[in-house]
Amino acid sequence: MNLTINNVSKNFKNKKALNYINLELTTGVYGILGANGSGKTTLMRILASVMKPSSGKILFNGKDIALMDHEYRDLIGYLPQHVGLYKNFTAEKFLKYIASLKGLSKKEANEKVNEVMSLVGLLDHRKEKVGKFSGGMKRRVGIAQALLNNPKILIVDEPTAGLDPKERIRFRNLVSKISADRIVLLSTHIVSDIEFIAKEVLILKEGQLIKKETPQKLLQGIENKVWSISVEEKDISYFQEHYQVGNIMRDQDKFELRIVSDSKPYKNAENVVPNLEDLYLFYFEEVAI
Amino acid sequence: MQLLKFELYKLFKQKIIYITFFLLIIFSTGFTFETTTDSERELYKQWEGSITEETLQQAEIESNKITKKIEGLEFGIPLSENEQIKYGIYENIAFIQGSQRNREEKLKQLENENNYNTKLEQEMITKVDRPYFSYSKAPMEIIDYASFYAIFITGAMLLIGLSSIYTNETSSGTDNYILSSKKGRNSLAWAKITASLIFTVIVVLAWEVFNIGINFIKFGIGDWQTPIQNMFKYFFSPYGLNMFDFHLIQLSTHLLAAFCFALLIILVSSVSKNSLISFLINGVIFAIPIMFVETVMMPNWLRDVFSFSFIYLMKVEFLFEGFKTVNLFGFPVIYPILAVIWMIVMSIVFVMLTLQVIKNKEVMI
Ligand SMILES: Nc1ncnc2c1ncn2[C@@H]1O[C@H](COP(=O)(O)OP(=O)(O)OP(=O)(O)O)[C@@H](O)[C@H]1O
Ligand SMILES: [Mg+2]
Repeated sequence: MNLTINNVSKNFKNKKALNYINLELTTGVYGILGANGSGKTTLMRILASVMKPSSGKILFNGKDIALMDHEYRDLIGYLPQHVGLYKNFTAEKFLKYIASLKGLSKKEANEKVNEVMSLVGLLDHRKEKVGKFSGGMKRRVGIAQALLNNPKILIVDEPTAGLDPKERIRFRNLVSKISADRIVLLSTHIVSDIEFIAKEVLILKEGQLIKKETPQKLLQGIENKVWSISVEEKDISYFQEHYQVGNIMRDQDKFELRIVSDSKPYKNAENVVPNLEDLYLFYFEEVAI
Repeated sequence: MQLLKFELYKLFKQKIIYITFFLLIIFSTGFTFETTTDSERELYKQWEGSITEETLQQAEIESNKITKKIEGLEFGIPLSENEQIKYGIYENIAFIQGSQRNREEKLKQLENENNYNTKLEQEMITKVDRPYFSYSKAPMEIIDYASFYAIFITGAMLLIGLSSIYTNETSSGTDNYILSSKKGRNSLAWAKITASLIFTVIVVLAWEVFNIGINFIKFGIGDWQTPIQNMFKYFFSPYGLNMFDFHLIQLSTHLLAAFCFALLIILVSSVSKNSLISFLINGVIFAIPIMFVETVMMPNWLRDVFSFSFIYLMKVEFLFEGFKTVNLFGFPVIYPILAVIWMIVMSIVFVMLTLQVIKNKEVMI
């Protein structure tokens, strides 16, 4: 099973949101990282077939998805960045509605709705109106609906935004469990979401795919570029002005700064083991969440 | 089937449609409630039947009596209620006879003509029933309601109920699931179309139940066998229809026009950014023709063109009030047939366009 993205571009009125993306996806989890406006959502929308590329093609097992039409849509589960719901539907009714959109029979739908609700921990709230749900619960309904048709291709746009830590872990485990025979595409700003489950990390910057590597490879790439130094409070601003500073941690009366830099920033700086957050910083020159 | 069920659920879950319907029905009563008395019906009974020379003469004599009385009376002293009713009856009989005389004259005139549609008109006029008088207040009122208040009820209900049928999905963000799901495009469009047509039927049935109910209560069942020419609007009508047949045709035509309008609303909704825009565009399409026709001077042919708009098609009236045809390769096609063809063609076009739009639809925000 493979999904090929072939020279895909998307232009809005006065904005190039995607710029000649070429990409080949096979089973496994792909984490997409990128700053706000870098084109993550646009790429995912195109893959979810709710948007058409301005140029280029997407092929699934060699077939153009535009021609596959409903056959392709039968294969995907899509969680949009902004979860839309019918306020006066109960969680169960809403999921049954989506199940019918996905072409499940009534019987299949009943079983599947139960299953996905327990996967996201909403069984106890099945009879409640989704309009009254909290942000995190709504997102879980969104995740649940994406799984209804056992999608071969799961496209989830910032699935963990608004989830509490327990639910985030639950979601992460869920994704890694189901990813064996599926293509999972996951965008996030929370790098720890994908650090251990992603087969590859895709980095988008201003509509361009600038990296596609395994997390290990990416981290190797910045191996000698992450530093830790201990400074006085008054010196922090100096480093912030001149370097990319990540975490700042208080260490008794001094402060420990994590800095991403090609060269050693200060004589007492020590090399430390990089993580994806450093990587993000390295590519985007801004502080990750 | 599941999809259709959900679409119906979403449609009928809108509280606003019930409020609107209730208000429109209240307004359609005109806030009056007049009924006929038994004595009035008794008076009508005496004159019931075919109108012959004899009845006509008798009516004239009776009518003259009252006229004399009016002239003899001092100014301001009114006739008794009974006399008023009688006078109305005599006038009515004269009117019906007038319609018959008009047809006879027309037939004579047609003998000297030889147009593509002359023969048809002759045939049709000959088939109109002989003048016949009967108590038919209820059918007349029911027919009037269906061609006046009903168009506003159907129009408003469709506009309010259906304008947001696609824009709601955009504004709630559910279009993401819909457009990315297997059945969310073609099948869902058909489900929405079917649900809308069911909605339309229910709207029409709802006001018709009220229409029949209230008028039967007010005026009794009445005689539905009387020719439509007994109604002022259909004085010149060449259609040999009694009130019952005509009302059925009127309802069917109204329903077909309403279907057509519903399909247009769906199409507009599928391309609109939000519900308000969709509502306004559809509202303008619905209301503009009547505003033009009522306020702007225009040649007859242009007026006829405007008559083939949704609002006038729902009104039905103009299709049957006179002899009007178009020339199709030498064959005369009467307006009602033309209207049906036109509505079917429009419906097919709207459905095809909607399916095309949905096939290529992208999320908007
Ligand atoms: N419908 C649209 N019309 C016009 N411009 C758009 C549209 N959608 C996205 N854009 C622009 O395209 C660019 C990419 O947007 P996109 O939503 O894909 O970014 P993103 O990486 O998902 O950002 P975020 O992290 O904020 O979700 C942005 O500059 C955005 O302003
Ligand atoms: Mg986004």
